[in-house]
Amino acid sequence: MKLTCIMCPVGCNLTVKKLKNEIIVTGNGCPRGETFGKSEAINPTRIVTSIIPYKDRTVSVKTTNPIPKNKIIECLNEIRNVKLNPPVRMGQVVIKNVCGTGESVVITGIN
Amino acid sequence: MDKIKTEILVIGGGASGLSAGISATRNGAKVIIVDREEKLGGILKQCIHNGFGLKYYKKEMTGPEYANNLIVEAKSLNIPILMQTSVTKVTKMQNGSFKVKVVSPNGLKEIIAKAVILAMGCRERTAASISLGGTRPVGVISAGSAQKMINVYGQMIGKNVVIVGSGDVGLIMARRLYFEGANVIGVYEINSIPSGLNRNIVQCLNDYNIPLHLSETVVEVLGKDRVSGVVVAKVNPDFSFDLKTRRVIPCDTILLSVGLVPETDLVSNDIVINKLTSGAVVDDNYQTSTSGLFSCGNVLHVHDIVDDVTMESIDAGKCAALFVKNKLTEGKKFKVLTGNLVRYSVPSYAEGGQGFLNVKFRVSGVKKDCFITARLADGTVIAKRPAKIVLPAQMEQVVIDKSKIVGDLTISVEDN
Repeated sequence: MKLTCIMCPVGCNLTVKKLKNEIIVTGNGCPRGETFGKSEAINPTRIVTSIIPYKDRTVSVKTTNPIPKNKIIECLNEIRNVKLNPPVRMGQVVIKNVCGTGESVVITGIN
Repeated sequence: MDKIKTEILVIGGGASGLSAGISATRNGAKVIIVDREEKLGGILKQCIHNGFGLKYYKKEMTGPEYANNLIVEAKSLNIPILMQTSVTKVTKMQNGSFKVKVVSPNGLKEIIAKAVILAMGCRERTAASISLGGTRPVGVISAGSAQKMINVYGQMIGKNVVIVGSGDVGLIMARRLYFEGANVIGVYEINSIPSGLNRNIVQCLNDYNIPLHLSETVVEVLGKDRVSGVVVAKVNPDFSFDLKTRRVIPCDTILLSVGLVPETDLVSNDIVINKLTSGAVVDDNYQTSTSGLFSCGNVLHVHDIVDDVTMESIDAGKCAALFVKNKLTEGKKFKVLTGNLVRYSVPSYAEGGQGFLNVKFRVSGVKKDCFITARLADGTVIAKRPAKIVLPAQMEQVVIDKSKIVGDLTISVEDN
């Protein structure tokens, strides 16, 4: 499997080989690439970022860690259903255990 | 009219201005930062996606979080910051100081500074700057403006969207629009290679099956009041349109992601501008052709990643602090020239001495398995590093031992 690493802007071209008991990643420039290559082969994950309306503007939010790719749309729908009351603060948890992933959605910025 | 005195005035409170202001303060200078917006952070405020900070903070964060780190640091240093304050004129006075006129909600002010750091960032190229054909209905919007509308103001901009150009902001917005329920019809790139970073093609387009059409572009905008569609056509290698391939694509919104340009208007009549970057010509102290006027970040040249902006601005802030203390050593400056495959490089002048010079540059074409070199006029190699691949979309850097700079030098991409 040929992949482009998305862990940093360098974007290394990875080759991921699935063997019987292990997964071999080559082409990575750093250890993060190996982690990404393996994860992408078994269970691709992404950090999800979005916004929630707040006062007459928004707050920006993210999942604290990457969640499975196939949960992204469900996660966005959960975020869409959140209603926020003032005051809010940076880092505030707005959803616990989003879509059963064990990850939280937290506030990253207040506009 | 209020008059304010300071050692260094920083124009712009985004990643560059905050970083430069923090650095200049830490190096002992008295600093004021002015910003025309209501809130600090510049463009980072609307970049709600993650992927920032890996290089400088060694930690992945979103744009607003990156900005917040800098804001907290600037506040902890008690740097005076004037918000909603827009600079209208920068004048170098006879005594060497700068007179800077600003407008603010409290009226006109005059700031006298020994040095000024330009950190105003860049702005987007427009429909006019790419000579986009057709009508001008509602629904033609630059990618960054769309990003601000959606992420900051929470206002959706359309339902069926065509994206012109594959710059990073456009790619990020393709995913963002998809997340907000829009139908992203496709990204059309006039060039044969994407202009954005590879990772953004992967995680913003491929992940959501958004098509990328290379060597194809929008040749006409359709619609009277609101955009009703676009005409696209394939692009020949000489950049003429292959009109046989014209087809109409119905849509209601056109996003433009066709490049960024340093916003140097404020000073472009007073300093030497690099025609290739549209930013100032600077030396290795980030000093422009006007003594005491420094430039860094995206107003100097457009960067790919904010970490590089921070690191560059820290250097510039330090140089400005040394300047106001009369400690900035300035020896004979040699030219830094562009060689094979190098489109532009920054800085344009450098001197020999202690420490290292970091030259940033962009290439004009793709090349695999090559070497990046710095050579003196007689051919002596004074820096060399291998590169797996160089791409126009990616800023490159080469570090040179300053003790080896004894004449003009040329940055090149070589076979071996």
